Amino acid sequence: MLKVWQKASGFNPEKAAASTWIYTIARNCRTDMFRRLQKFDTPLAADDLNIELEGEEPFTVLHTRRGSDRIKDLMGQLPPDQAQILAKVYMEGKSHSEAAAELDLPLGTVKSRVRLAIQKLQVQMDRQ
Amino acid sequence: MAKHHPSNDLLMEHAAGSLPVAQAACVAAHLSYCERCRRTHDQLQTVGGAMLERLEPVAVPEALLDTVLARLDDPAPLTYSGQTEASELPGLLQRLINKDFGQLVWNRVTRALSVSYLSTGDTSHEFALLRIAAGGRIPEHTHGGSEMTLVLEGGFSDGRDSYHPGDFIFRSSEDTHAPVALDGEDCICLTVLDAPLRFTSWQHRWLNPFLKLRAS
Repeated sequence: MLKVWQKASGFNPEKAAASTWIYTIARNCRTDMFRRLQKFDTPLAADDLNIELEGEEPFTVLHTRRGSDRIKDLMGQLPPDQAQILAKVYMEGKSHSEAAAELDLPLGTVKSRVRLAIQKLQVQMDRQ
Repeated sequence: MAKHHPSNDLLMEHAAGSLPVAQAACVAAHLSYCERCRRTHDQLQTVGGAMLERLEPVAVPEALLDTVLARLDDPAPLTYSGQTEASELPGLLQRLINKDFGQLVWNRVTRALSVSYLSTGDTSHEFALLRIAAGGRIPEHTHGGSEMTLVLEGGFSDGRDSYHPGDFIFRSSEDTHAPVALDGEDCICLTVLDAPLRFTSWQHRWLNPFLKLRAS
């Protein structure tokens, strides 16, 4: 929470929803703390690996906002097996293969559930 | 504009913060070149935010609020600017390199290929710059594991396609390739490996025992 306060001046509501912004701060804290606990000596802090969207056209900003509202609405409708994997990935920071091992599922199943979930959330992918 | 991109799976793992630091740095460096991937990555972060909103609130002791409020006046951490406009090299690589390509220590592997190892603190991934002389060829090889490549300068071709600055290529252990630098200028790439190269042609196989992963 302290980090959220300290970084509050960097929050731009045009670019991201507050929850997304708080998520990225919490995620970076988790990564840095994990690396510190492992006595992991790295010149890169998790914040350094954050590349932000910038200088967007108003149209794109609007588009992004709509996208994030939609993702939030649709999140509640995900089937439990897909939501469970997203929780492993996003909340626990597991890689797809770690999630597969923990849930005792083949990697292919994890990947296809992730893919289905992302489709259902209508995350816009320009390719694949 | 980059034509070759990380897979959506990789972008998601990056958005969720689960990639090892060397791989995360390579994906982040690609994002600084590629607006399309930045946008996808942004949406994938939104998924994290949406999950956060759906969490059940957890009760915390009242003393915690006091502790947090008491620390609000602590000095704020230093901040860096994420992107550099003036130079063509992604800012985060500049921080790791901290000098010119010319001043780096280049280890010669073959006549056309030199390597300079950088340290990310990741002890399971080698994070290195490759320099392939203009028109030079890297002998045909495969990998014990995965290989991420990001082109920084010049370009190369692997017979299937040609790659230019900002392009991101992910190869698994099954792929065999023999990249050739495009004519005209040296090609400089960032590569992240989790196992050493294995040359497959008989002329170069003797080098294999000397190829060790240099992760630091």
